Amino acid sequence: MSKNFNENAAVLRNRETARGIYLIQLKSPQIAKTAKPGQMVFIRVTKNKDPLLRRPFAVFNTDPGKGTVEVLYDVIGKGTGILSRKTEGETVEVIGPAGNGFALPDADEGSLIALAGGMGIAPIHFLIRFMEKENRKISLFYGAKDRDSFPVKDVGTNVKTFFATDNGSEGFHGFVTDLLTGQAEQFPENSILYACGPEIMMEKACGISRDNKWRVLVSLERHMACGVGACNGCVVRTKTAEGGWKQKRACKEGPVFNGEEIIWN
Amino acid sequence: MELTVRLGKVELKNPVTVASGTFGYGEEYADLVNVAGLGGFFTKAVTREPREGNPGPRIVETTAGMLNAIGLANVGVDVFIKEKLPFIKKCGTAVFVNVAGSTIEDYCYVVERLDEINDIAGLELNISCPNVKQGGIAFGSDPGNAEKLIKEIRKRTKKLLITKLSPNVTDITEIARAAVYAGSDALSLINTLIGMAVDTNTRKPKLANITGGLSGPAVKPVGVAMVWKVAQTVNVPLIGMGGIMSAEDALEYLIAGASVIQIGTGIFVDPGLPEKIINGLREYGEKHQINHISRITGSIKT
Repeated sequence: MSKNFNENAAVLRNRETARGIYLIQLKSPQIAKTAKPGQMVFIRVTKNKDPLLRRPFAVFNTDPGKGTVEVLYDVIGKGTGILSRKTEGETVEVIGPAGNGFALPDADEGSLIALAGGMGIAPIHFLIRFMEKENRKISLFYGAKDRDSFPVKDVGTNVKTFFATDNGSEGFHGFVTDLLTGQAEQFPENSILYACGPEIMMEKACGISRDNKWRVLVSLERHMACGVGACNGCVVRTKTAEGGWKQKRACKEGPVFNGEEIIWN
Repeated sequence: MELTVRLGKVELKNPVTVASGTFGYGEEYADLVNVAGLGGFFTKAVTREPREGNPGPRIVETTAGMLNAIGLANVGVDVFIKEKLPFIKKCGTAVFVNVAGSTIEDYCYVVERLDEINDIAGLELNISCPNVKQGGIAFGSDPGNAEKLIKEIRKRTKKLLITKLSPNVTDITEIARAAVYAGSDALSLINTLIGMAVDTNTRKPKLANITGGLSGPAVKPVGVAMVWKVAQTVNVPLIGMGGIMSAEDALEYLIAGASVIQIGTGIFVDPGLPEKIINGLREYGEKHQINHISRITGSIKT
C-alpha cells in the first residue's frame, strides 16, 4: 500500500476535452512520483461547506519528472461544476494516491486487453500510458453513446483501439462487450482483461473472461468519504473462499478487484 | 495559553480529539495526521463479535453534511486486541475505545477484555448508534435502560468511562443525568441525527438502510445547544462534537460547556484540521489573555 500525501496543488491547466468532460492538470509532485495506474486522488473543490466532502477521481496520467497529475472528469454535479471553473494559478487540496491500483501483468501473461465504457477510460488511460513505457502492447475496447461522447480520443500509440457506439456513429454499432466477444478469439487463454465503466459492462466482462479463461480486473466506483479506509463507507460485496461474503472497502482494498470475487447487484 | 485538559483521571495534551467512526483505529490516518499531536482519538466502535455492517450505499452527501449508515462494521474485540493495539500502544496520544453492543452481556464482555489493557486511556460507551436495530439505542433512548447498562459496566472497569449520547431523544438531559448517576466519568455528545435522502428519479432512498445518521456542519447548532443544556444539568466533563470545522466552531462548543471537542466529518475534508484548531485556540487565548483553556469551558454569558 502506497503512502498517502495531502498536497496543495496548483492548477496548471483545466480544459474541456468533450461535451461536459474536463481534463485538469495539477502540480502535485509527491502524488505524481508515487501514483500507479488504477489509483485515485481525492480533491477538495472548495473551502466552503457545500459541497463538503472531497471528490474521488481516478488518476488519468502523471508526469513524475514534471510533478504533474492529470484528472479527467465529467461535470455531473455541484462539486465537478466548481472544479470545472478552476483556472490556472488557483490551488486545490489533493489527497492521494489512494487505493490499490491495477495489478500489473505477469511476464508470462498473454495479451493485455483493456475495456472502457465512457468515463471508465480515465484509469484505463493511465494503464495504457504506463504499458507504453514498459513497451507492452495493449488492445483497447472503448465504448460510448455516440462519436462525440468519447471523453478522450487520443489514448496513445502502443494501443490498438476498437471503438463501439450505441448508435453506430463510430466503430461497432452496439455494446462494447459484444464487440469484445466478437474479437475474443484473437487473444490467448492466459490473457488479462482490465475493465472500467458501468457495472453492467464490468459484470459482462467477467462472463467474457470466464468463457475465454482470461484473468479479469475491474475498477469500481462508490461514494467515498475518507479515502483512507477509516469510515467504511465505500463497501463492495465480495465472495469469500468459504462460500460466504465479505464487505471490502473500495478506497483501500479497491478500487480494483479481481472480477471473480465481486458479488454483482 | 495552556492547553492541557483533564477528563477525570486522564490528562490530555490539548482538547482536540477525533471522533469514533471517522478515524478507524488510528493507523488509517497515520500518513496524513500527526497523531501524536492530537489530544486523543476515539476508535471505531468495537463489538464482541466482528460485524460486516450494513449493505451499501452506506454514505451520501447532503447540504453541508453527510448521512452514514455503516452499521457498526468492525473487526471485533479479539482482532482489535491482536491487530489494532500495536499501533495504539506506540501512537503517542490518549486513545479511547468506543464500545458497542446489543445486550448488557455483550458490552460487559468487551469492557472486561479491554479493562486489562494499560495503553487504553478510557472507554466510550456507544449507546446511540442510530443505524443498527440492536446497536445500543435501546439503552440510549431510555434513562432506565441506560442506568442499568452503565451500572453493570461500571462494576467491571476502573478506566475512565465516557457515555456517548444520542440527540434523537425528546430530552437529552434525562439520559445525561441517568448516565452520570450510573457512574459515567464524562459524557460525549452528540452522536448523529437521524436523517434521510431520496433519489427523486428512482424514488428510492439514497441509503440502503433507508435512514442514516447526519453529521457535518449542518448539525453544529444542534450539538452546541445540547452541550449547553447538558452542561446545566450534570457536573462531569463534556466532550462536544457535531460539525466542527474550525477553531471558532470548537470554541462555540467549549464556551457552551465542553472541556474537550471531537472532530468527526471534518477530518475527511481536511486531515490538517486538528492542527489548525489547536493553533486557532492558542491564538484565541493570546488575544483574550486567557492563561488556561479550562477558563473557556462553560464561560458562556447568558
